[in-house]
Amino acid sequence: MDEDRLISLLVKGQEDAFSILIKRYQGRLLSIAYGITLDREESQEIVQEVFLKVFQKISTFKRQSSLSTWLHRITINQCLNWRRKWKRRARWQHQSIDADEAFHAPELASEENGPETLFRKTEFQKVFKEKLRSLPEDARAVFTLKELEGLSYDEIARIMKIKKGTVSSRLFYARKKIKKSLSEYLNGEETNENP
Amino acid sequence: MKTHNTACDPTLLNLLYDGELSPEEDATVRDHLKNCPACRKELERNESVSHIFKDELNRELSLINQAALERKIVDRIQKKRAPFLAGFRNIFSPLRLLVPAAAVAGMVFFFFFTIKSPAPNSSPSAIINSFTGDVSSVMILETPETHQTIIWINEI
Repeated sequence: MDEDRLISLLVKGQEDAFSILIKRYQGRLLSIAYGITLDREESQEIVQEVFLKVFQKISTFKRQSSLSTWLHRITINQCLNWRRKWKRRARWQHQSIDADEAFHAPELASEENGPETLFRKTEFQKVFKEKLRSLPEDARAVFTLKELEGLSYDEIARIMKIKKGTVSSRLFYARKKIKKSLSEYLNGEETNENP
Repeated sequence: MKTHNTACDPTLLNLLYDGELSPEEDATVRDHLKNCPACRKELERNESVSHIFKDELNRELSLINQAALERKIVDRIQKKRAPFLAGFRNIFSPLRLLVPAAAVAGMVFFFFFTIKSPAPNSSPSAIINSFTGDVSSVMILETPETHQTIIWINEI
């Protein structure tokens, strides 16, 4: 079903149209939400809120942008507002249960993945996630849209209502910071192996 | 084509990686890359960061039950939809009763006051005042129920 037809059916409130919309976009929006919030529970809540908003506001969608752009925009705004809401409530630092991946250890040690390799891998995942979390949310949002959706700078600028130059600088900053911290980690590992 | 010895520019490398350079700029930077292992390494690092990020995300998202999430979303939309329809019905159901009820009440009112109620007795039964003169006599009367004033003039 093409986008125009889908939008028309959504405006009419057809249940099947909403099912199609959810099937088509849930995965992508969940990825974006997780890329920004880095929290599984939050990202699921956000995706639910996004689709509810679409249900409530579809009649106001003017089709000046694509449906995809509109959905992305709602998702980004929900992610950024979610964080601001919790900061305003002075929520103490939320330790997501998925932050301590080391204790989940779903993989069993095998000949290929010895305990040491597994530990280093888990540690690396923790470090990587912490470095992502340390990025400002708007930089993380730009980085997520670029890496996951492969959008152009113009498209990202339209979604986030920022200038193209701002997209470029935030992306540059995000990559620079992540690469620097990963280099430090990898250099540290090399130092440990070769004291 | 002349080879330009351009200096390393991380910003341009980033733009090349994202496909945001013009064809001429793209050619210039690629030319530079042929002779600059450091810049090639930077591009590889961009690639690594991209792969690691996607792998990490996919790993996390594989732990989410997407079918359950889909059901939750559908349920929430249904709940939003159903109360609306129920509310819509609730708003209009009293009116559906109201109109026939009002019609019945109107008919009862009409019959009660026009048919059931006796016609007002217009015959006067109280003489309030009377005057008799040389030419005529006047009687002022009032009907008992409707309190209408009747002036009766009788020429002598």
